[in-house]
Amino acid sequence: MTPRGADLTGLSAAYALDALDAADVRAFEAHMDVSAEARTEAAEFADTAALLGLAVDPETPLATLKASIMAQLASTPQVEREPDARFSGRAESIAQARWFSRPVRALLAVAAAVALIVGGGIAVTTINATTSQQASADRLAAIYAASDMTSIKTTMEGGGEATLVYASSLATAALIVDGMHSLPPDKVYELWYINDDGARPAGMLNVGADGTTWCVLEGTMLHGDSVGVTVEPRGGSTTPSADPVLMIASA
Amino acid sequence: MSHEEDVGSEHPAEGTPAVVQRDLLVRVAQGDQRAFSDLYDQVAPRVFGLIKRLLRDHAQSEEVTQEVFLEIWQTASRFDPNKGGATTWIFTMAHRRAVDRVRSSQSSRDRDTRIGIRDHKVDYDHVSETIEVRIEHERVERAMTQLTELQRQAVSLAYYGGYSHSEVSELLSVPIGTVKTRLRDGMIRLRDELGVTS
Repeated sequence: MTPRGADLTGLSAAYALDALDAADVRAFEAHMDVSAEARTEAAEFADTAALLGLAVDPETPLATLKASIMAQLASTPQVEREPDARFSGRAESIAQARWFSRPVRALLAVAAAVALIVGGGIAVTTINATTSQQASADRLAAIYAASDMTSIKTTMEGGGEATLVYASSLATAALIVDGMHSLPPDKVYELWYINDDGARPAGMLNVGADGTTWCVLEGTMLHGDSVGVTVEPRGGSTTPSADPVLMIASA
Repeated sequence: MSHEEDVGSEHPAEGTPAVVQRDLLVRVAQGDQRAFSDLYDQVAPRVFGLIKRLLRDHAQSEEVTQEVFLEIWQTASRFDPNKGGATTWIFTMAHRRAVDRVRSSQSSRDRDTRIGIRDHKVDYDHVSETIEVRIEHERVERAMTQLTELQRQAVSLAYYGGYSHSEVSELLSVPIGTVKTRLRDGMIRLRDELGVTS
């Protein structure tokens, strides 16, 4: 379980030592946004950890390493200064730079995040990743990095698990499923944003042979929307033609 | 700036490594490759030393060192001198990258076998190259002696071993809550002994 409140301040040392898992890192960074005490302690512990690093014996790498790095500078874009001062100099901004400046790395990070959410088992093939997959990965990474990211896990009828992750600040949601039945070729899973006004189509969910997939929903998530999945004829429908096989209400 | 000068000699009064690195980073943020080259020369041996300490493998350590320096180049604009030192900024990045690599599936496979034979303390016995490094050694060594054995183990496994607190908990056969407490108490004592204040 992710600790709350006062317990979070106790994570400052483990944070500075990079000893936290991803969920605790996110929880602690969110905590730093609201706790000056946590920020101060984290900064002091970061300085302390750096001194531990400085105490290690130096070793000069081969000159070829420097040559290789220098040769890459011209083709390595530098990020603009972070306009939001809240993020400057923070590990979070470093993490963001990592996620968004390097698509393959972002994809790996997302794969790790997805594995974390569903408890393992989803493989994201980075080598064959298409541009759209990478774009989706970036969007999922953005949801995951948002300070108001919410994750709701539910068990599906007939087994399997589905997790809805969304960030209201981005009006974007993603669905991650594990153990979903494969469909015959003439059927598809279609995603919907659903509220009192009806259902808005939000794209298709392509479930692999192993029943796992993740997908960033198309369109805009409105406050209070539920996310549903129905089985539709190939090509999809403009309105749901059957009861949802999965329905998750946002908090 | 129309011409480039050695920052250290330009501001001799401020020529400490931390100040020099800060000024270099600010110039790197403006796309100054010469400043980047100088910064590399200053910190690469220590960055590489730390990364290799965690990864052991020479080739992987070079890869991660390359990642770190390209990340320094890319994100130097996010370094804010008002919020922390350049050295901390660089070493935080280097440690995190090394830990990311150590936890990746490839390297984690042989970690359990390494644990029994590895010494997680700083290699104090090694003759250091510069007086500056030796002073850091001695400061940290002295501070480390102020920790309890259990605090020292936990901090060393986390920082020099790259183990997560749940792994440290398993390795030391103590509850995870105890590990958190030891890490925090150990870091508080190190912080105070090393004279770190914000």
